[in-house]
Amino acid sequence: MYAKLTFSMLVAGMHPGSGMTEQNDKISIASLSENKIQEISYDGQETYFKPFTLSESLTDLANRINFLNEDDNDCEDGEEEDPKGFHQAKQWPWRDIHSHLQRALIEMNVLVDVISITQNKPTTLKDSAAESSDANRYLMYDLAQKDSEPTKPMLQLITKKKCLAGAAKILLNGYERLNKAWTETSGQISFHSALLKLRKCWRVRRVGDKIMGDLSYRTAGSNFWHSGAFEVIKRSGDDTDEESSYGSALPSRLKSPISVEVSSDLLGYAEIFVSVINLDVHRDSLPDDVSECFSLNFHDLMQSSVLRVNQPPWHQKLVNAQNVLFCKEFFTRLTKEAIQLRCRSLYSPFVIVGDTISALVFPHTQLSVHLRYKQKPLLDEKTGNSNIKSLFSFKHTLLQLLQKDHSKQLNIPTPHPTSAVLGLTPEMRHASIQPWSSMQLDTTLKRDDDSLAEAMVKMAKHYEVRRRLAKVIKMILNEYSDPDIQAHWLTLSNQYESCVRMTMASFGYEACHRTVFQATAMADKVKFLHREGKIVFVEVDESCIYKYLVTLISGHQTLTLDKLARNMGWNVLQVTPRSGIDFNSSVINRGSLVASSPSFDSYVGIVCSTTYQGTVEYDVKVKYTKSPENKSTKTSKDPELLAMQFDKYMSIGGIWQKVNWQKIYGRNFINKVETLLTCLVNYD
Amino acid sequence: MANVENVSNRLKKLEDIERKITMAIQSAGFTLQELAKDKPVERTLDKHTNGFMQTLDEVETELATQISYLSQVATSQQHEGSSYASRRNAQLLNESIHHVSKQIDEMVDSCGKMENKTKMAT
Repeated sequence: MYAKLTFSMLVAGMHPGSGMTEQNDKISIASLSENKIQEISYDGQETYFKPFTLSESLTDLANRINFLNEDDNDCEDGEEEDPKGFHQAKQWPWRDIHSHLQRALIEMNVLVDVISITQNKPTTLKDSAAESSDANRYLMYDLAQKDSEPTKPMLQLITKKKCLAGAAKILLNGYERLNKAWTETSGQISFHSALLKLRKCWRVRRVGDKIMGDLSYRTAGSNFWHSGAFEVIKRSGDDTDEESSYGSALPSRLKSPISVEVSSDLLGYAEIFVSVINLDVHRDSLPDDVSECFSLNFHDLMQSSVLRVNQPPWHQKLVNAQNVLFCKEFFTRLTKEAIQLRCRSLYSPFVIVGDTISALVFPHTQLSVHLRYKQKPLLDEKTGNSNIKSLFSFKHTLLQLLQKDHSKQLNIPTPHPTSAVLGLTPEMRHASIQPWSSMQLDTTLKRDDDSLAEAMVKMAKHYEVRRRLAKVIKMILNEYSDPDIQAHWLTLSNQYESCVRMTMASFGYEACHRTVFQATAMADKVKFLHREGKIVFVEVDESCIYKYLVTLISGHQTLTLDKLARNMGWNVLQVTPRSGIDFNSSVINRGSLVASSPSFDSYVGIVCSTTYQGTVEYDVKVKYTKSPENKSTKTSKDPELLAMQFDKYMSIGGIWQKVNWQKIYGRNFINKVETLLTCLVNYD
Repeated sequence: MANVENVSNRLKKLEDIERKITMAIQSAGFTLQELAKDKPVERTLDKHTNGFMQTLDEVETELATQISYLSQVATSQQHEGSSYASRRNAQLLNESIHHVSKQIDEMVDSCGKMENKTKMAT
């Protein structure tokens, strides 16, 4: 009653109009889906949980009853509410209450039944009154489940056996495979000992279930981006057929149970190819304009012939990969520096195109660095090209610089004293207290500057200067047989400076005089150090060096003449080895000597001049104070008297006469002069 | 040197263990194969099962020995260092030595030539 009243009030509330409108309104109610949706398939079809049958729902409800909980009020309420709740089931606000009440009623009924059975009393229901008195009644408690299909034990057994057979097959297959691998590798090096061997040389660690290695020089202080990772793979029996060309060529005892996988960009062979190219005017005439090349290839210690035989294939592969990595790092570093560098000593800035860096170090000399990267070994090419020579200083210096840089990354010098700023050298700290000039500061800072590109440019320049100096010396040696010139290259030189010691001496007159000097080929100039301590810097142009050397030759000749004349008792009136310009405009330098015979009756004037063409010209003149004719005529009359009268005037007068140099006997110039001087001496 | 031998011995032992694991797999395979048959022979079954259990016991004991040894000897962290820097240094020095020896050879050669020339002249 209470529920009905409440419902009508609610309807009135929804439609607050008159009673007429209340009658006309039609409320249509559609039933909601009664069953729960189990699944909605892709085509939109819905699968529902099948509703329980009556007996199932009974069992289900019986399960819900908590027999331990006693509550009499529920029972009373259920009986009271039952009939009204059922009638109003269609009205949705009451649906829940209705269903609950209904369920409570059924539960109550079941409870009553159960109690009656357990107490063996008659039930409330009339139709079961006959059974109530039956003493054999019993209650079976069962779960509300549908009966599963009857099991077939034979089928189960067969399935199980099949499964066991499958498992056995898998296990035996695995065993066979392992056994095969075992028997194949039993005569060879085992995987773990090979791994131990690999571990000795290479950095290997375990990542998950893989064994990863590291080729990069990161542990040595490198900052290169490439990880240089490689993977170590155990070669099983099946993989042996797919061996690489390495493995197949090797005897079975050397077939390694290990194979390594290197990332694809590290495969192959690489080298840095540095060349100093001469872009001269005679370029067309030369078959190859490369004046000198060298390759920066890193060879491993294991490559020595004794060890190479026992070397496993993976080692060579890793060495190559590391070499590729190293070359790449080197080239990247060089590129980076080349971009940043504004080298004042360069003729033109660096040009970077692809794998080549080039720069003009001198007007016709180009330095080019090329990263060569190929899949096949580069050695064949190397032997084929005879122009390639190993320029050890380049390679050694560059590698050393890189190594130094790497080690600097790892070992940061500790400040001394400990309170000092980190990274400052003692010189730099002192600079703030002591009055240092900017030049001193510059030199201090430059000492730490290990720029690879700068070092390379400097070396290339030095190399070119040395080549030019050697070429000029060779030319001089070919052109001048008089005096004898000896050049001795010192083996003790560094990468930026090299020395040559030169000696000039006339053949047969070595004891008389010899000119000794030292030429040092530097990066920007040639330094000539003479015996007397004089230092002359000459430009690196070939003609400059040539002309200077010719000047030295003429100077040598003059000085030798000086010594010779003195030794022979002649009076040297004047000697100038280098007197500067001459009247003749084609002469650069003019050395001259004037000497008189011991008895002052003849004079010799010798001029050694160096021309712009780079030749030494000799001009020898003789002057007699007393003509031979006069002398002979006068001595025939009264020689003693005449001598007494005119001897003191003998040295006055006379004319310079040119000597026919070709007709004078002698092997070389000094020898001829000696002959001349000997002839001119008056023995009377 | 002794250390290297020790390591190789240990590796051998580990390989033996691996071999025994293979044997255990074989025994297990045979046992299951026997069970899969229509009429399994109990004797064979027992033999294989026993074999499996025995091998498994051995493997367990030996592995435990190895692990306890390793826990004494090894640190829990992986070795991160490398000999790359020193190896590269050695390579560089080696090349220097080669270069110097080559130069000395050239010098000896030229000295020999000079000697020959003077002999010929005399």
